[in-house]
Amino acid sequence: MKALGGVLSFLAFSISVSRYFVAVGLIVTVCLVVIAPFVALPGLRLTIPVSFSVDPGIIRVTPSAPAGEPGTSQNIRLGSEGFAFEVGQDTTRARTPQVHVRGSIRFPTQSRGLFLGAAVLLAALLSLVLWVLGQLRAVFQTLREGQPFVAANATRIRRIAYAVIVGEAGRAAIVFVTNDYASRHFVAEGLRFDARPDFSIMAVFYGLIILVIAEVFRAGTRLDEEQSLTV
Amino acid sequence: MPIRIKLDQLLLDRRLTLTELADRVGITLANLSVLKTNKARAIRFSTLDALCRELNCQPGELLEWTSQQE
Repeated sequence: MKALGGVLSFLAFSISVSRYFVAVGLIVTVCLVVIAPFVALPGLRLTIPVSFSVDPGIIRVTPSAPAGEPGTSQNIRLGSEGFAFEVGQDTTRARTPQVHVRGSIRFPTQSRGLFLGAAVLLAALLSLVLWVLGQLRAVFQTLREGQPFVAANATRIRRIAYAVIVGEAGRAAIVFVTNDYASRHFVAEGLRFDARPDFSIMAVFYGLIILVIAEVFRAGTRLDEEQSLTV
Repeated sequence: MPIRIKLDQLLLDRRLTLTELADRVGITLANLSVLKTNKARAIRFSTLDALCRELNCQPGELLEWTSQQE
């Protein structure tokens, strides 16, 4: 129990620190949005999230180890996350599959509109993160008070689940817009920016898991209430 | 809740206070208060047994069913 108290204190502290940093980031972003139209932005660089296809035939990964050691270029290949199937080498067909990669692109810009758009999106993202951390903090507060089985906590956990799902949908939409922008403005050999939604099914799956946990929590809350009102 | 506890009347008849009954039955005053104010969701047989023993009554004298409309 004492160890659990220590873990709870550590988690509550981590959430408080995270909230502080996110709040500071949000304030700075909002200040940037407010002052951006009135000041010059020399040397402005923007980083935007993108997902792109890599042609392994052009962008090659080679081992840094000296020759003769295990790990030659034959058994190193780019691959996407998750499960993959590798079919035996077919020398008659030299077609190499495209590998989809998530990353970001950093570039100098003078466009005030682009900067403002990115700053507004960042502010929206930070607001969502701050709100989720606030919900988590409230849950931990009840946990520290020894009364976690309250209906409000089930609602808070459900809200967090919705935030995860909505956040992923928002991220996919942002990546779609930035990919569209990148595909129209940048060209790189071996890379292709696909203007398509990069929707992570796993993030939605995590959101659904949290949603199930929220419903289990709600049932637990009802049982606890029944128990406390049984004389 | 259509099931009501008629503890008030029984306490009055037996000239007992809620605190005295709580001491005799062996449950907390808070829990007995929950029972008396009809906030309880359920009652254990052991509690019912102790109440009937101390109040010298039948469960039917302690519980009353009323329809939701009343």
